[in-house]
Amino acid sequence: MKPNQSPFLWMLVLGVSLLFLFIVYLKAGAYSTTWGQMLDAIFYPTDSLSTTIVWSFRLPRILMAFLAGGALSVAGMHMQNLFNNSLAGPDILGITSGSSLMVALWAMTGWSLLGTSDVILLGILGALGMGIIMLMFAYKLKSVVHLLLLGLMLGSFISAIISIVQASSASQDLQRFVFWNFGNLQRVNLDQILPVGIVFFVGLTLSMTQVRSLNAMVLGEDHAQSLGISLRAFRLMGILIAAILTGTITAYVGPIAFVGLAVPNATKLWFKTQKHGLLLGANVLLGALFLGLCDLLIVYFEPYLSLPLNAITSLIGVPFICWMILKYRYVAS
Amino acid sequence: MLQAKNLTIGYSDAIAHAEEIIIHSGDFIALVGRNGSGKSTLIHSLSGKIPPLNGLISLDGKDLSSYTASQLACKIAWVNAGFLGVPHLTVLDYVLLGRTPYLGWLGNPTTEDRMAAQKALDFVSAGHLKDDQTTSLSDGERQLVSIARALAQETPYLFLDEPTAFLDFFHRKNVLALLKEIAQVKKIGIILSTHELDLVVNLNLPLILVSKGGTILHHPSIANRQALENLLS
Repeated sequence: MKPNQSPFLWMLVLGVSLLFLFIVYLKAGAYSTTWGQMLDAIFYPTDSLSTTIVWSFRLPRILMAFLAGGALSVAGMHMQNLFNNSLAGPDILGITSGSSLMVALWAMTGWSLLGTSDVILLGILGALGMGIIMLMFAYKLKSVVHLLLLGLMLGSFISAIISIVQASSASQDLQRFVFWNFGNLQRVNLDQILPVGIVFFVGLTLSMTQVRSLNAMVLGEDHAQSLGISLRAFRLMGILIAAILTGTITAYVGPIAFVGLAVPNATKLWFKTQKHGLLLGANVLLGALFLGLCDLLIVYFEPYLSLPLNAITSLIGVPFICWMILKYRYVAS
Repeated sequence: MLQAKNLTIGYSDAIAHAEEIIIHSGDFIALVGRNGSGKSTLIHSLSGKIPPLNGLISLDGKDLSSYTASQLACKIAWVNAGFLGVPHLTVLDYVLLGRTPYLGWLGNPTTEDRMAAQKALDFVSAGHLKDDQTTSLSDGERQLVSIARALAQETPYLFLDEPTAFLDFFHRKNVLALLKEIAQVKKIGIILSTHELDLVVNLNLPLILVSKGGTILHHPSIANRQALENLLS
């Protein structure tokens, strides 16, 4: 049974895999719990060590992995649709860099925009700013290759600013930033799940209002317009959704590479469809599964080796993208 | 009726000017002119994609600029030669995209939408292609299903921007004959921009001419290719 023939069966398979991963994850880790201890800890929380481990460490961490993976994949889907290119993604087009810059300035200089130290808001504003800049470039440049190059240039430019900030900041702040920059779910706590979850559902709800436009946009902007899509509203909404999702996740768990690029492509190749209602759901599930698995790998290796999340997503994402370019020559489209 | 009066078109500089253009339902008009004379610009202007620099365009008695994007999409369909196929998009799903202006946010087509799409495919004799991938079609088939997509949109007007550009002579003739039939049977007002002067002359099509100097004129059919060439240069 191929995914494009029975997509809902495969969505169900993804959903069940996600549940399975969730259960395995709660039990995994350096401090071993038995199944009984784990279940007790979940349903009858006490002040025992296993309760603390499950509720303060494992549960928030896997939930954040799911939210981050789903959110970044949805953001990537919007970017690829908006720029009509499979190689677009929040990290490639500098959206993530925008958040990084804001968080770097906040973390290392204590500087904050609008007098707020709310890291989510800063992340979103940084992402939104870069999104709007890239959109303006997209108006000027028809060539997607030029646009991708500009995104890389802007990313380097922002890295340069960040390294200046790094060089002139105190070692304690610097260390905090470097850890954040690795991308990490280790420090997530349960209180952070609610705000991120709310942003995630807002992003998802807004995405659902765009499904009809996303479908039409695969024919290009000219055709979408003649099919009644208001391009201005669509572009603004796409950038807004990508920015709030990417900005929030980046602010909390760091700039996670390649999820937003690789997962939407894998979803499209797997489900072989351009129906974005289906792709939206599949991206959430596959993105969550992917980042959850990456983090499970990190947990298994924790006693021997400290693996930065960003390194894992890149180690898996880069070969996949390279394979995709070689096989499908998507870069030309 | 689509009517333009005292029209000046262009993006920022004026490219061409017309005293009056009138298109009725059931008209099949060929838009001819040299490269760069402003044929595409005229089509974009008449379909509301770019505002005219001067003058007024009205559609069914209402100013074109007062229509929203989705209202316009129920009035005017647009086809060009640029559709190269999209990976993972089947022909039926492509034709169903023509139903976009009638769908809700979630873009789920109803049975009625599916029937309209199937009917449109059958009308262009491409019903057998419905499960094929749009990327695996020949140039001729791609143009047929693009026209089907526009028919599924069920608009009273259909504008085609050089739809025969990449086709061989046989397919060019077929597409033009098909469009003529569409205009007659479905009473759709069609403008077709083209460089196929021979076919235009043979089919006795009424013309909109864009001369080199940028004057746009209605013209009844011309039976002589040389005379037509003289008018364009």
